[in-house]
Amino acid sequence: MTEDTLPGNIVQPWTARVRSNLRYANLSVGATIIVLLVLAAAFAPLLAQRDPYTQNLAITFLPPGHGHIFGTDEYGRDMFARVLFGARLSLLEIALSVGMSLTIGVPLGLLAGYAGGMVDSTILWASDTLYAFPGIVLAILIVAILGPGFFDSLIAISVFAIPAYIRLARNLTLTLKGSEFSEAARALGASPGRILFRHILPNAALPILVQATLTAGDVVLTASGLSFLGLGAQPPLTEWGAMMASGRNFLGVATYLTLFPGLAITVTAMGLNLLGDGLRDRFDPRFHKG
Amino acid sequence: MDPADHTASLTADVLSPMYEGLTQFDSHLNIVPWLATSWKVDASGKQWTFMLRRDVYFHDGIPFNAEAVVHSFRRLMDPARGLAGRSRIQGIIGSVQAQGDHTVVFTLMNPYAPFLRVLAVTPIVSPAADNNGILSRYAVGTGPYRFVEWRTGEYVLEQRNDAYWGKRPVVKQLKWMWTTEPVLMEMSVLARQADIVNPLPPIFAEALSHNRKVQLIEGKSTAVFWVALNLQMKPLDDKRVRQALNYGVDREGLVRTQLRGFGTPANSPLAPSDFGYNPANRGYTYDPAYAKQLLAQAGYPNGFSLKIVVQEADEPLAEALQGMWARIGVRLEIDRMEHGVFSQTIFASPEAKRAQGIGGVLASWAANNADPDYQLSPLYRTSAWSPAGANVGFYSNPRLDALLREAAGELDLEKRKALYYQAQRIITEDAPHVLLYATRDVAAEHVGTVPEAVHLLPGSQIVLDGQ
Amino acid sequence: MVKMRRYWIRKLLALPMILLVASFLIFAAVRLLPGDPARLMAGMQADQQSVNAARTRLGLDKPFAIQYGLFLRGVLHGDLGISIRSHKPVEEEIAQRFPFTLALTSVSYLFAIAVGITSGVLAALYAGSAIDHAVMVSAIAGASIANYWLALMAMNLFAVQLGWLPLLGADSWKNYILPAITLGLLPAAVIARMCRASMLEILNQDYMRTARAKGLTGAGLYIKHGLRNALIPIVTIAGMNFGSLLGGAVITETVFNWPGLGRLMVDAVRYRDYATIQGITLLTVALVTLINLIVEVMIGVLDPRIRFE
Repeated sequence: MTEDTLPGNIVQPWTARVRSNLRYANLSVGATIIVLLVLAAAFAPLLAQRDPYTQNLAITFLPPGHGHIFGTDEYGRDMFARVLFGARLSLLEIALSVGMSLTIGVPLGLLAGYAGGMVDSTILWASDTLYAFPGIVLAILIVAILGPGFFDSLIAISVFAIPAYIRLARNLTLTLKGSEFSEAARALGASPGRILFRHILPNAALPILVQATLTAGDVVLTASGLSFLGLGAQPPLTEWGAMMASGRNFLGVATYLTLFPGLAITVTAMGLNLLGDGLRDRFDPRFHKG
Repeated sequence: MDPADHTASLTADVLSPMYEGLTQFDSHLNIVPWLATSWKVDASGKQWTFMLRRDVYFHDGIPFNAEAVVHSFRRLMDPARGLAGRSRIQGIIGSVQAQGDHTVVFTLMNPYAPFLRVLAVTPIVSPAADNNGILSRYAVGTGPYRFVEWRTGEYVLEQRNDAYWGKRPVVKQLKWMWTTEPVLMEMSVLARQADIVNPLPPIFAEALSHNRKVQLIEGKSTAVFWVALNLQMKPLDDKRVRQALNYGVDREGLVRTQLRGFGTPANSPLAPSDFGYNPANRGYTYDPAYAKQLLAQAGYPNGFSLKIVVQEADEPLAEALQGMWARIGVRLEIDRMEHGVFSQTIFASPEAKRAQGIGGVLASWAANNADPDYQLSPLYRTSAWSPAGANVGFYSNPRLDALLREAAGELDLEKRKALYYQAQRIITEDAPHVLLYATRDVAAEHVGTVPEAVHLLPGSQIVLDGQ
Repeated sequence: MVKMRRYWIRKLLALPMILLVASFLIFAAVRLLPGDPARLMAGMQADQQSVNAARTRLGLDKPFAIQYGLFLRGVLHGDLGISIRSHKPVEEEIAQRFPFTLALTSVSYLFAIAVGITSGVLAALYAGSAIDHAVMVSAIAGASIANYWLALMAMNLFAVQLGWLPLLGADSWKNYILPAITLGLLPAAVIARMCRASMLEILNQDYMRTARAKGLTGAGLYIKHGLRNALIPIVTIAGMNFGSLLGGAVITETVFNWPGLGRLMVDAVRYRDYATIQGITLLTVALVTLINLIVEVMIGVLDPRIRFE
């Protein structure tokens, strides 16, 4: 359906306007936030001017202002430096965790979708079982087994994101398997592996990337939630969730200790969600038809 | 609910209005007669005879008598029952016998000076309730409050015991709620959603100390915080290194920032409220330069790496140490553990700790009977090496062992005190622990909500004074 | 029809299988937890003998297979074991605390659906307007806020600074406001976005245009034709989010000191209360599986065209 076949009613102008407005606004705002975040992480030492770990018990709980724009914490450490350096950990968190769930989930999904039959039902069934565990509950159990820590909590977060990738990759494979180019490749005698990785995967990559961007926002939130429960990064790592977890014991007395890391998490997650939305709006085939 | 089968001190807090022991602490921590009206000890110091209070009844109507006392102690001593409270009397009491209805005779294994203090923290339970196996879920004691209801995760409700033998409290009903979020305590007492909050974290105690709506209730310093160093590991086997770590700690700074002033820097392994505490014992000053010098003498001019384990609640303290020790070149790695893992890890054997590279344990110890034996013997005696006891750093000094044994049996208070003065000096000198600070218990009351005086006993136990 | 019935039968048969495997996973996972419940039960200051006695009392000295067998037999008889911490039967603890979690999740769910659908529909009807933008920005923000952070800020503002809302307990409706909003925010945001997208799509459909061409206008049109069809993705997303809502309850309950299952779970893990962890996890897995099934049924009812393979 193309726009010029539509009768001149009110429906079309709405959607067209919204889409062009929102699509690009999302994409550009999201991308800007993420680029800024990457820059902040890269140049943290330069921007912060202070070491995020150096304690000074003479200047604990300084409110935001003079010399310390985000104030100081209970050890007299500069909160601005800590929040900035926190960006490094958050990016690492996102990259590692999304990377891990992708590398496990996508191949399994491809395999399930392509092979079908017993393989498909076994993988799907395993994925359903995993999916039946509410994320945080599963994460708590995994972290409790592995011991609290930055990487351990990442593993936990990655594990419960896997089923979503399996499902997505499988459904995409099912669709793409029947497409003309796959049929053509098969007719030419291409091996299943070749078809999967040379034909199906490249075409499935974009939707998977969109999904990954969208879940990246959740990664930041979940990781901080685990830290909040005392199951995340070990001290004195400048992980935002861990900073909030310790800052919450001073709420009302030094509320800014929770305010700034909290804002940092929110802005990061928003950036990723906007970016993911923008990418989806731009590339999702459903939106091209309108 | 079973007073013999819980481990957290907060459970003790909830149970204490319902249960009583043969003796009791007054607000100055002196022992006073309670369910026992008088007692005598024979010349050997091992046989104690107690005369019991008459006309006292348990909440289930059963009379309190010699049989109930014997039953309460025997169930504790029975290893097959495996009750958590067993460790508190184990090795102390040999046997307990009734003599008629109102007299009980204890035979101790060795003379034990703080025996009366042990009795103050050992509650007497209704034998009928124990035989019915309901004590884990209902409390049946002789105290001024009766158990009404326990909703897990919500509250415990207690009603005034109108048949109480002693001074009747004014408050008719107690409702206990608990939270893992310290900030909720501060908020609730401010908003008058709780009449009393206990224990109040220092940061909020400081904030509330200026608030006219709230009155702080302060106890004495009871819990001593320390890092037990693993003497089975290099370089911690070297006394100079341990002393260097001690000189590297700014205790005043810790008390000021971590405790917001609600505590005292540790100058001794004993807490200020313990019997025999020597306020003049010379502890370690903050002297990073000297600490570095000691480290250099020991062969570590560039410092070393040290891994300690800590449970979540004490992690901020470890983080502060991390900053302080960095200045003397010691790189502190903090392994924060969940409570469940922590309790297992710290009681590991020397081999296991060495294999895991655990150089220290940050923890605290409070003697809820305010006696130095309970504060020192489990932590410093050779026989208390973990897993048998809480000597988790494997410190051993035969001279101290002999001294502690002698002091535990010394019934002459002045002599006993002198022995503990010596013990404090030896432990400070040997520095098996990096002693940090003793905390002061603080609770807070919303002004005008409790119609009677309130005070705190060791272990942050709250007591309504009655009228 | 035969194909569909077979599909449902297969689904129903898979249910106990999933639960059986999950029960094994849970049971094994709990025993992989580092830490010694016997030591916790005996106390930090206990000697080795007391610790061993506690181990026997807990039945942890028996071989793994026997322990699992006893656990399964218990589960089938509704007996989930005794909690190490409270010494109460786990099923009794769950029965006491589950209503609180259920009440909280239901209230926040209603909040999420009401707010989500209303704002989603509004945004779609007034697409491109300021309302639309406001809804979309709030939705993105709502999905990006760490809920415990919001909870802390809200507590500080409404309970301490303003003194409007209570902090402790769960007995009055006022106790529900803050936790329910905190917990419901994320699903509200997701539902709003979903609802807007599917409303827009439907408004573009031929039958809607036909209806409009026939002169049908106003709320009736949108509700009758639009919303009904928009419901399908909403039900899907709402159902799928139930699991994460239960998960979110873990953190929300911890922050608000809510006497529900989530906080019980966190405490149980911390204290290595094996029986309680097993009981709660098994219950949540069963619930999530069941709800996913119900969602599928509902989708089938709402849209008979959906094929099952």
